[in-house]
Amino acid sequence: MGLLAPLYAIAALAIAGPILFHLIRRQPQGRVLFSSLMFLRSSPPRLTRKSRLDNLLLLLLRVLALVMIALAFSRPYWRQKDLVSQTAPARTVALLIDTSGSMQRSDVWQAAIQVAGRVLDGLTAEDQVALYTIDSRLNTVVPLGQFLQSESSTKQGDSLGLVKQALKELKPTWNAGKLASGLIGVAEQLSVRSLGAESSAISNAQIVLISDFHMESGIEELQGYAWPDSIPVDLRIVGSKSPGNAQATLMQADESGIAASADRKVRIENNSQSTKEALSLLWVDDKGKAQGPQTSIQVPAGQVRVVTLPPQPEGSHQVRLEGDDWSGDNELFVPRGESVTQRILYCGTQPKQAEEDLSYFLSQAPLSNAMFRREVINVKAEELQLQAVQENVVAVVIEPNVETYKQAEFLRSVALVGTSVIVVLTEQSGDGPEAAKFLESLWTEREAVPNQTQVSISEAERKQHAMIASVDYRNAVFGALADPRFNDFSKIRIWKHRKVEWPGSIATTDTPSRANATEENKDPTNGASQASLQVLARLDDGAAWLIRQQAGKGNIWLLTSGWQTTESSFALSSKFIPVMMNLVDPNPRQLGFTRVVDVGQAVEVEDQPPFKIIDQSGSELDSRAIDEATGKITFEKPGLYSVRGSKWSQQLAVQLPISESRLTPMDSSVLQQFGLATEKLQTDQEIADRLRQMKIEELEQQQKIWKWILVAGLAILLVETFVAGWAAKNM
Amino acid sequence: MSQSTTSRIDLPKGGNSPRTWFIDPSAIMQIQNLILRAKTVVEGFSNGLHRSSLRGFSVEFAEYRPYVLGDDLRNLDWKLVARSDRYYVKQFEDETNRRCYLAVDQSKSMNYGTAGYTKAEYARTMAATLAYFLYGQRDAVGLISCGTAQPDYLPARHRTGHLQQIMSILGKENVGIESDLSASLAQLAGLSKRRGLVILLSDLLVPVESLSQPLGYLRGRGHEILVLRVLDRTEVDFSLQQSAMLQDLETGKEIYVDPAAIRTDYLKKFNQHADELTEMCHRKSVRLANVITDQPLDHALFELVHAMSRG
Repeated sequence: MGLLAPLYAIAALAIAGPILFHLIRRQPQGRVLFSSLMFLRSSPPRLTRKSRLDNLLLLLLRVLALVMIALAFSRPYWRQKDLVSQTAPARTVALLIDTSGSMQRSDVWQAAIQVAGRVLDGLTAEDQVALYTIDSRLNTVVPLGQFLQSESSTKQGDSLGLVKQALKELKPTWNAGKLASGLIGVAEQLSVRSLGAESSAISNAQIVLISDFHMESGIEELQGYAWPDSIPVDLRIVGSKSPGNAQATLMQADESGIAASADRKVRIENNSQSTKEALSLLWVDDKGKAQGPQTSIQVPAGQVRVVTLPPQPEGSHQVRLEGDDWSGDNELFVPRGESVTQRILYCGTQPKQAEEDLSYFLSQAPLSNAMFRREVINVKAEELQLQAVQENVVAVVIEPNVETYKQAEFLRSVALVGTSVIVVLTEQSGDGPEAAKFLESLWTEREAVPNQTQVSISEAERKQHAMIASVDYRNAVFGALADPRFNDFSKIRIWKHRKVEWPGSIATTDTPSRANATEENKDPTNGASQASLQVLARLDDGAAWLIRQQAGKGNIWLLTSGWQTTESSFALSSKFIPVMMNLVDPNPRQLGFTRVVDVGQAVEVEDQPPFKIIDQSGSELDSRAIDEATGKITFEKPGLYSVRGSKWSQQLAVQLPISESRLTPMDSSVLQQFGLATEKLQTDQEIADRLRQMKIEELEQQQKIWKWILVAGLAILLVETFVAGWAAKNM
Repeated sequence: MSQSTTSRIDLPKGGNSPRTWFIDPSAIMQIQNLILRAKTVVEGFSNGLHRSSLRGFSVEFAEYRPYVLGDDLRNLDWKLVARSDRYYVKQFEDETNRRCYLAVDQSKSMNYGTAGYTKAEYARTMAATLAYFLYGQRDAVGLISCGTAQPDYLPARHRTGHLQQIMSILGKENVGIESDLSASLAQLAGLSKRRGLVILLSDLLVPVESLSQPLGYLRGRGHEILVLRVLDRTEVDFSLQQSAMLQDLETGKEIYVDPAAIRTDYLKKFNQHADELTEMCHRKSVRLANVITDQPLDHALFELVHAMSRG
């Protein structure tokens, strides 16, 4: 006989009650008052054998009744032999281990592996086990298919063995964690398999997620996902003994890589679990040796401080934060503060008077920026071909004259590979047929026949100065000046300019009038004709002032007036520098602005492969870092990398994603808030016990012995009532 | 019978055969009116007193004093003036009457009694008797009820209606909360401004040490003290027959007692307490008399007369 609710059997101890009452009953009933007990001591009565015998039957009945009632409540049943051998049914367990950067903490990762080991120990060979890891994306280490194949070949238990083997080789990455995508990915795989599965193991699936589950584990994506109720999640949180952590981030990261001399600001955030407040920052070199003084700062737990670093020492590209609990995220890589030198070639007449000299104004204009240092170089016509093919030439400014009329085809070829060619028609460049022929050759890619040119240039005759009447702000050249605060071009006075006419064979996209500007919303450069001329600005007499032709990767610009003060006041205008910046390089390379990137972030490179990626120690990374399809580079570890292409090289600082430094732990109930079904994974023994309990309950329901025992107990109570009445009457 | 099994309480000897001389107290207790009870006892007592020579002690001649201007001429001894032609004034020893304070224990332990009435009733009757007797002698009588949280107090006076006041207080039921006898006595020592005779009626079932200090106070203020210890016969010889749960009247504590088993022990402790009490009273020059409730009430008057004659 067994008991379904054995705890109720404890109620049988209530028999102590009647026994006690029987003992108390032997105490004298009456009380005698006495003046004072100060001279008396208690003399307990001696029990006689007779007094016990008198009440024994009554006592026995009462004890028996209580035992019966207690037994009835503990739900007894008759045992059957088949109860012992209950085995748990096979099931599917998908083990999802967080391998994001925060798991790099050694105690956390060891705890994760131990937890995973314990989960696997609770499973049997009949269970299907799959192993996934999740960092910034879901990685399948041991897929579910492994089991299905082995099932057919009757190789039971392979999946468990494979997972145990794979677990030993697992290592955490430095990527950001996106737990939501991992959970959704695994849940979808399990759902798809359960649709067509006949085996109960597939339908009986569960996900075990092992993670440190911190504030930025990336679970927000679960918000929009309808979680299948049939797949419960068992979240096993592995925490660190010291969850406190401080993180340092460079402020204005994209610019900080440029100006080495500028004081860099570092934002230090200390999380609320942190027990250490005294932190310090210092520059270190590639070998980890301290460079320069140490900056100490007190950051209380849960607060943020901004520190200004001392200037970057020579040869130092790394800032180290010291004093917090986890040192894995304390290295902050800062790219070298080097700017790229670009050259602008000027080829034209050089008058003695500065106000007549185009190159004078060009060289005075600050065309450099934080990334590019630009210098203007005057070249002679015969040296032009030699100089223009060099790597770092970004633009060629040419004032056509007799010596350069023959360079038209060469200039066009230069433009085709991406260099801007800026042709400035001045009084010196002339308006004869040679000049027209030069322009036609430049625009049409064919050698024009002298005296048969269709392009004509004529000096405009005006009594008064001309002004810029219409500007195409849709173009990038004037785009930045479209704001009403800057779009006043009326102050630019043009005293001398040329009228250029070209035949209809050269397609023209004229400057749209303000009325139909919205209708002409297409980028004219993307039209069918690549060689079409685009007039970006016109003067008030209708003559074109700035004409653009896209040639290959580059542009050919034509200004019908010089900017020197003898021809116009353009060089003295505030518009000169922004317009010239855009003419020189309309599409500056964006790579320079993404110098500081996160681990796992794909970096786009404009140049074509092959690249060489060299890390801090000088060794070359293998080609796996480069995605062949997109040409993007992904880095797996934080550090300082050099990417070297065919024409250029770029330095990249790769940091640990900031989300992996914010280690404030979260409560597991957050998953339930996102609608996930959570359930603890039971071991096979626990499942077997549960099944046996269910079987026992069913058996007890069938037998219902408790009813008979309860009736017997009540019957005994009835007898006891009669016996007690009889005894009281006789006494 | 060995010494340990008998009570060593000294019982008063009222003559060769007290039972035939005095009125049975149970008969006295049948009388409802307290003042009538007192009158009955005192008158019976006075009949025997006529044969004694205890009168006139209260107004005795002390000395002569030369007359000074302002003295009452009524006190001038005219015979001496006639005889010697000198002016002298007669002075008497004490022109005021004696002050008596009756301290009656009202504690719960006094509610015990096996003689048909309780010790408290007996003590109240005894107090009424003493008051009646003293009042009749033109003495000032005061009253304080001991052993209650708020004791009743009447100062010692001799005026019309004062005896009725005393009787009405004595006629109240025992409402004692706690037997704090020593506190009441200390309170009496504070209230009685002038010295007199303090008569304490109590069973004194308290630790002897607690009585020593208040009795010392009273003695220190010049009071004569007569303690009439009122006891029940059962308390003296512990003559309970059957085993029973005994409940303390004051504390409510209960213990199971087999009288046969502990009688010797009880009497030993009781006698030891009584001895200590006697010793303490002797030391303090306090007169102690034991009164058993089945004995005549006249004994108290005898004790009073003894005490007064000594003072």
